[in-house]
Amino acid sequence: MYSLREIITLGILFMSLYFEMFMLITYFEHRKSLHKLRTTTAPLHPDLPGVTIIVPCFNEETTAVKTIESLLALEYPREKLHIMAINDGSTDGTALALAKYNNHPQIEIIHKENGGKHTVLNMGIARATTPFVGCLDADSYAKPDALVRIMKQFENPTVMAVVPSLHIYKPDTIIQRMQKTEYLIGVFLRSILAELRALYVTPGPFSIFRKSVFEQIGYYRKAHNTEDMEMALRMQSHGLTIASAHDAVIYTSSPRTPKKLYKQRVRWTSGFLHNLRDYRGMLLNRKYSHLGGFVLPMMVISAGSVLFVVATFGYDLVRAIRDYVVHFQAIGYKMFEWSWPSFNWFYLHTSPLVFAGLVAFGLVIAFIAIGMRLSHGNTAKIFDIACYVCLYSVIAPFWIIRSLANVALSKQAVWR
Amino acid sequence: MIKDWKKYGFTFLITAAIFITAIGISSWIDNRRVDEVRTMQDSISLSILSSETQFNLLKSAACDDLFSSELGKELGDMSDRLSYLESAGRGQDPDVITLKQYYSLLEIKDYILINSASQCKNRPVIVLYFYEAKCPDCDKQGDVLTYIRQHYPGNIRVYSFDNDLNVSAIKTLANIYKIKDPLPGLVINNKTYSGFHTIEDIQKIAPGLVATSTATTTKK
Repeated sequence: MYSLREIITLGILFMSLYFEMFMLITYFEHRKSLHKLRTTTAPLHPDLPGVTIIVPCFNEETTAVKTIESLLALEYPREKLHIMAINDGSTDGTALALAKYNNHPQIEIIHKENGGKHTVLNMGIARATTPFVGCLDADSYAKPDALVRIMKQFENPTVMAVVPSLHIYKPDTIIQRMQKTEYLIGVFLRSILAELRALYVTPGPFSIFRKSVFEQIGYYRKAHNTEDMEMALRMQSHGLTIASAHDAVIYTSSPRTPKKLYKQRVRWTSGFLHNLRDYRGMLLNRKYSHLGGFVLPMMVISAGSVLFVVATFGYDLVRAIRDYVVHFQAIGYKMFEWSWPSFNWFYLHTSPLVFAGLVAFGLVIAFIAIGMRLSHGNTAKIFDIACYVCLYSVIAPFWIIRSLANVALSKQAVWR
Repeated sequence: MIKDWKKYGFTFLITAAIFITAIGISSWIDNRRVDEVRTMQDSISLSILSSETQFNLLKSAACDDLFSSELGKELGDMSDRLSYLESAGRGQDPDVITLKQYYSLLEIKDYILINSASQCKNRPVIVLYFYEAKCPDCDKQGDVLTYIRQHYPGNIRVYSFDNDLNVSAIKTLANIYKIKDPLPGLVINNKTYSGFHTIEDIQKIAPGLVATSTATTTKK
């Protein structure tokens, strides 16, 4: 009845639908507490703990100041908030731009030789004297209530790190609008993964840690240029809890063009796969329940599935082109004569893939809607969603395949 | 932990239910397709039987009925649907094979009927087309004939026969007209031509088509 190819495709679709369903069911399990967080306005507590925010600056003369200004505007007791701007050997005017804060009581400015992001973070962590440390990339901006909302999560003494709700800063191009929608899905997924204790990344922009984490499990590593994934995996492998404050909104600058996006994602995806290889002991290990037994294996399988789907799609494309050429050889230019398309249900494509695919698509739309509800009125317009729906599945395979090749050939993806 | 296993199981049940529904809807629609072709087949078979009876009664007068473009169109539509079912991966489905066999026999009956009405004027151009799956030029020839059939519906009747089908009447017909490998093989107005023929070739062989084609285009 079904060909091998259809069976494999159905299998892949089954797994992605299963994953989506699992996320949705977990959402309904925790719906009340997830939405409660959104509606609570956290009052400023007098004895909030001290926090150091490291701002790694590498050739970010235009955005670094804005990042620091957004930190200064945080609703948080001034004497409790220490900002450490670290210039990682920038070759542009970053040093000059930072000079205006030279005598600011809250801000410490450090210049060092270029050594990569993890060296900046480690330097900052080592010098920090507060019980909490975090980082805000010099191209990202915090909403004024972000920090206090994150710190509320630390009232639970078992929480060792908190990730924020990430959004695209002023999406402009189609590529950025696509990412805006993608990030809303990310907000949804991260809040669910946090409930499952299965977060596998503590994003560079504004993830806050207890300083004791680094004393216990060590400082940042180079980690295939994705130190934020390695840190999360290392924390999970030590059983340390990472929570999500999806009500704490951070805006981050995003690649404007497909080419820049491709570079960023090859770095992320290659890094993720490399780190996963380093932490392969966690895969299918019962000790790491949802993360090791479900979420990480699912990521590996879905990356592999892309290969199959792209291969079969390529095959179809070649055949369609061949048919088109044959048709042209047969009737020549007459094939371009205009005729009204006629609709007949008989010729509609109605394989089970279409119906199951429609359900999977509906769930993605539901995730976008929930992501919008969870993240403080950051809504995507229909156009943003259309950009995501039309573009993402077309361009994502490019970086996924490139990353799989990188990992197979053990190649590192560069930062920029 | 037990609660987690329950959740994994529950998710599996829901996902499986969605899949079973999807497969169910899909196969229901597939069966509806076969039903529709079957209905068409009944209607065609009835039309042929009716023309045949009338022809036997009057021996001549029913020329118009015989050449009704309606029947030609129905035969064409049924052929389109059958080839869609084949291209949708149902070529090996016994239901579809039976339908194709039945369709071939209907074509032969209609062909015999039209061919025997030699006294009628305005006879359409009759094309017999023999093809098989493993034949490089057959796709092209099929496209050409589909184009002609759609553009000159009143003046041509195309009967296509799949040589791979196990129907002895097709083999007999192919023998009568000395159809040889390699296919495609064409019989136009009782003359055999083998190999690929373009639209222009066929118009040259059957000039009747050219005249009506200009007539229809000027009408527009």
